[in-house]
Amino acid sequence: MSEPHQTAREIAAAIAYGQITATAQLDATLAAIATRNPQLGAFTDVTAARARTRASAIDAARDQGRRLPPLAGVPFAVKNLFDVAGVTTRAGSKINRSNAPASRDATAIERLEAAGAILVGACNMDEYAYGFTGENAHDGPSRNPADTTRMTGGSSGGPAAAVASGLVPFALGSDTNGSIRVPASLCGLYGFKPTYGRLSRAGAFPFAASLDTIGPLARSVADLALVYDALQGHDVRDPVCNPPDDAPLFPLVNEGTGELRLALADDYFLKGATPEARAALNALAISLDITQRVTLPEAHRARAAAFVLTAAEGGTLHRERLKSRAADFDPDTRDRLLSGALLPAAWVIQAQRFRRWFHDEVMRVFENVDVILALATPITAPKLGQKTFTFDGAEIPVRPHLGLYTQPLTFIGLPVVTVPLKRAPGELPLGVQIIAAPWNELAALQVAREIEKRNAAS
Amino acid sequence: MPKRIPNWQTYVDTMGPVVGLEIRDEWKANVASFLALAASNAALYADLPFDDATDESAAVFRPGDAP
Repeated sequence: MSEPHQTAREIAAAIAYGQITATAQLDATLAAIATRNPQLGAFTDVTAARARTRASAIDAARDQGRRLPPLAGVPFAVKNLFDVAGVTTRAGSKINRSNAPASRDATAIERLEAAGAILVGACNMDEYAYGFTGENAHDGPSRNPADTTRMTGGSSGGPAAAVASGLVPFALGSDTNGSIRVPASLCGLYGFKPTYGRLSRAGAFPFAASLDTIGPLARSVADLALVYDALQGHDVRDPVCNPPDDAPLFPLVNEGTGELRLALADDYFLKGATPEARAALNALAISLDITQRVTLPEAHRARAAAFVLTAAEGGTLHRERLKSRAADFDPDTRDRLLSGALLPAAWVIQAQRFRRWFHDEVMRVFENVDVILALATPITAPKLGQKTFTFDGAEIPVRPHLGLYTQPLTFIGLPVVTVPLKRAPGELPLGVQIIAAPWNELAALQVAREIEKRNAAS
Repeated sequence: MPKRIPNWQTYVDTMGPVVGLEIRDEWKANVASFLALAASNAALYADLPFDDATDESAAVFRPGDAP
């Protein structure tokens, strides 16, 4: 019998060494989902038959003495915007349920299953990924396993609930403005948003194409790296996916931070954070001997421009659905998308011009540092249904603003790993972003691993 | 001269049909409020001066390109 909260590495090792079969592991996973999902709202689709076929194949391969791939028998889930052959891709919506089932898996699922992992289902999300709460008008909210009266964060809320509750060791999410990093922060997980263009998005329902990325949520840095390595590689099905290299990072994440120059983001990335969030970040900075502070110039404008680009790209993407089925959207999503479809072109194109300026300024910051640390969210998980929170003395809406600290970074496509901050017993989770220059995922993972080790030791 | 505040409800009434969207009366106030929020965001960068060569409109955005 498998233990709850095992990592992907531990499960793969147990299956490879014959301590458990892939089928037994799967049975335990499906039983746990059946028991706990009604309380958590994590899964919207469970792909049990497909998973059983794959588990049997892995057990047969082991019985025949064949070498198993690195994730053999490891169950995983995906946000329900990923295409799963034979399943209709909801993307959190009511509207997409009228579509035919997907004819082919998303590239990311194909690659993970080629590495031996077993898809067990698709997970809840904010409708069309347009929100940071994990609440869904059609499927109900995903609930935070640390306190089920609270939000998971979103939009990859279901995947976060599935991983944080121990139902699966990892899940795939997508991140346009913070949709992996926000739920990772609020649920106490490791979340990885690689460089824009690094991983294939083929077969993932889009939101804002010039910002969309995919990546894993997991309970260890090693699992993030294992999954990332399985996902890497050029893909002709995604024209943006054209990475400069695809060297495996898993063998390197444990090599320490060496000569990496670390700094803390100040100014925008500290403004409005609660005293407890600042204290947790300061404690981390002290433990890592970080004394340098850096400013990402005009980050508030970057966040504003990302907000407008997202609205415009999302509104344009959904224009036909807004014309034909507007009443079937979640009202809040619909009204935001309608406004996005009406935005003046000058605001959008100027936002793109500003993106280039901001990118070049941040690249200059990276001439003097390798990795920058910043809070992932300004607050811990709000209560489900909570509409506003206090930020810098003002009450602001939760749904568009939980990603205040994540949005400027996705705006210029930077790779970011979210890591749980050390918390006292009873305190809700909170995460820190480990930010690197484009294509330098290794540096972010190595620092994340160092923090993971220190958290475990203290 | 004080800056004129746009009437976003009127904008919705005008631009909805232009782009082929039927926006019900009961939705308009919320759509207008999101437009006002977008406007406040756009105001933070819309008038920044950029070199004429700075144009990303036809590009595939790719991080890491040399400044």
